[in-house]
Amino acid sequence: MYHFRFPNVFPFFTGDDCPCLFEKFKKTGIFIFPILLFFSCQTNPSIPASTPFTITQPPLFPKMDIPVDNPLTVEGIALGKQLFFDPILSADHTMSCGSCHFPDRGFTDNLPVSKGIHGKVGKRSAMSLLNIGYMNTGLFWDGRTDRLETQALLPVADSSELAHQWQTVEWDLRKHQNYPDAFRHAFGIQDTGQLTRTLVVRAIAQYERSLVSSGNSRYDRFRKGELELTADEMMGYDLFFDISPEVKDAECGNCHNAPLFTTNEYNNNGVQAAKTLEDFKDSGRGMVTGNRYDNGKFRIPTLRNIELTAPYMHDGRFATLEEVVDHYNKGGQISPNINSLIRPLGLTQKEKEQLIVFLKTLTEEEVY
Amino acid sequence: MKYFTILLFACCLFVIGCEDTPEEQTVTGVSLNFTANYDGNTFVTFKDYTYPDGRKINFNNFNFFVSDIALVSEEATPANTDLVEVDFIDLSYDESQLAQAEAGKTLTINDIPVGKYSGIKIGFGVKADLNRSKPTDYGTGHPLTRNYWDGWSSYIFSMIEGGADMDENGTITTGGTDTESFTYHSGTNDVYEEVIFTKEIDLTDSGTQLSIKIDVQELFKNSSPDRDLNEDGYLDIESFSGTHSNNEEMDIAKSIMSNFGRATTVE
Repeated sequence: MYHFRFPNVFPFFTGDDCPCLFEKFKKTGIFIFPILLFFSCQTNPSIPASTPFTITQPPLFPKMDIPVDNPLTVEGIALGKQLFFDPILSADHTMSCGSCHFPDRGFTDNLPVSKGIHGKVGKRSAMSLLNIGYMNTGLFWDGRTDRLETQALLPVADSSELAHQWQTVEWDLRKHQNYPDAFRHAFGIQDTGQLTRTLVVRAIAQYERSLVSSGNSRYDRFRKGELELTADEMMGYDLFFDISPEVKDAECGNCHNAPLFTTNEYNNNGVQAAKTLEDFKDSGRGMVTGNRYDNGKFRIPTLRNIELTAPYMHDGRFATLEEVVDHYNKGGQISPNINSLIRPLGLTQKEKEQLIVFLKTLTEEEVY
Repeated sequence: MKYFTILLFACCLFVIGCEDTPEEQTVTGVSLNFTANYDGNTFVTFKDYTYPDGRKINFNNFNFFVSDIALVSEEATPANTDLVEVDFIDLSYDESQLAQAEAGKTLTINDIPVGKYSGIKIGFGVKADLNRSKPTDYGTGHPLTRNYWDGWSSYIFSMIEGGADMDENGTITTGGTDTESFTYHSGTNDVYEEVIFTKEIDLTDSGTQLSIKIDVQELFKNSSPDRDLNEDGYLDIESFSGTHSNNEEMDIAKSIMSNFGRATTVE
């Protein structure tokens, strides 16, 4: 006798009490299956199709890579925004993603090192999320995740951040008054059991990909020919990009190249003094790759909105742009794998000021 | 009449079927294996070597673009069989990646006609028509999505970065006010270098691998007395520790790029 066991997927079967599927089929299943098949082929008229969303990006920006399994939709982005600012994602319901990424602060929190629930101090400074959808070489300061969908999983569960449990988040969202319907509209789920962390982070990732430069900064408008920079801004621009041989090279554009003002690479920019490769207080990228030559390297952040994102560096050690420029002008601190471009620049006080004036042309006029 | 028609049709089919079909050209694969060495030693970053003037030198970055790689034939038409339009070769493997450094970077190109070729042409840098583009013109993964310098409106054709014992105290200090680092970035159309390496290449059905070996030390050869203060035939890196290919330093960039030909052997 050949016994054919199935998991208990139909309510009229009773799990292990069901000894023989064929016996049951004889009575009921053989009629039910064609009916199920018929209904499964029907479009559910109660689930509206989500609306595709196309990013409007400034001229000269690269094409953003959108994962095929998470296309942007109006409903997905709206849901992601709601989740991003909702403290339901934290264990004590006091903090959200937006608690460390304020739109009017360049999506940072203006703290040297971010704080989680109960005031727990984190390890590094909150990074700007502007144009985060273009960062395709890893996320966080050390690049420990490769895409936004996996990135968003971590802060929720990190004991120094939102310190929550994803299972509880899922339960809370499923019984919420509004979220099940919002997920239905965004992702076409048919019952609350389908509301999982996977969809939560997809929605948040969609919102984050929508955080694209407005193209209205003074720099962008200058590049579009809509305005002229002041003489000081223009000199700062020249210093930044080493355009004229007569003007000193501040070496900025090597790592902060336009239009994103980052090359998305990992670099030791000399903020940590280290006699050996093992001496870095925070080994950064090296912790992820396991390669000691990557110790002390961090992801190069964008300089767009840099005026709004103080303090600076992975540990927020510099309170002002003046301190940052001084750091580079002195050639950083000694370490074995420092980028060779970090060396004394010989900038005068006036040139440093001009550089900073130029950096402020990267400030977006639009708050998201 | 019906049988006649059928017979005629069959004959036509027979005649057509006996027509010579064009002979398919036999094709195969070519692998181009790029490796770097320093005066014959496997090149790895952060390892101390000796510069021709006797001082210690190490590197933390060595990469370059190649364009328009083609097999050259004196007899065939066309004379060049294109292999690679453009690619980025990064040979910055550190000491912990010795096996990767020895393996280098390999470009594999399929469907190349078998036959005898008289050499291989390699363009070092980004050829002019591609150098008009920008990284934002390409999708993720394309070699031209990186190493672009807005100030020149050009790709950085080659990057050589590292440190040298400039003060000859036996150590190389990197970072800080007394840093001993150097940075040679070369770019713009003026320094693009196309070289034909003469070599009999018998491309058979089983394919061929060509080993392209670059001696990094040879990239510093410099015959200009203005740049060779030690008069040893090499660039004086203590006095001239950088170039960004602006007007004042263009000759250094030109020298480095033109040295790719002499620094490279094809086996």
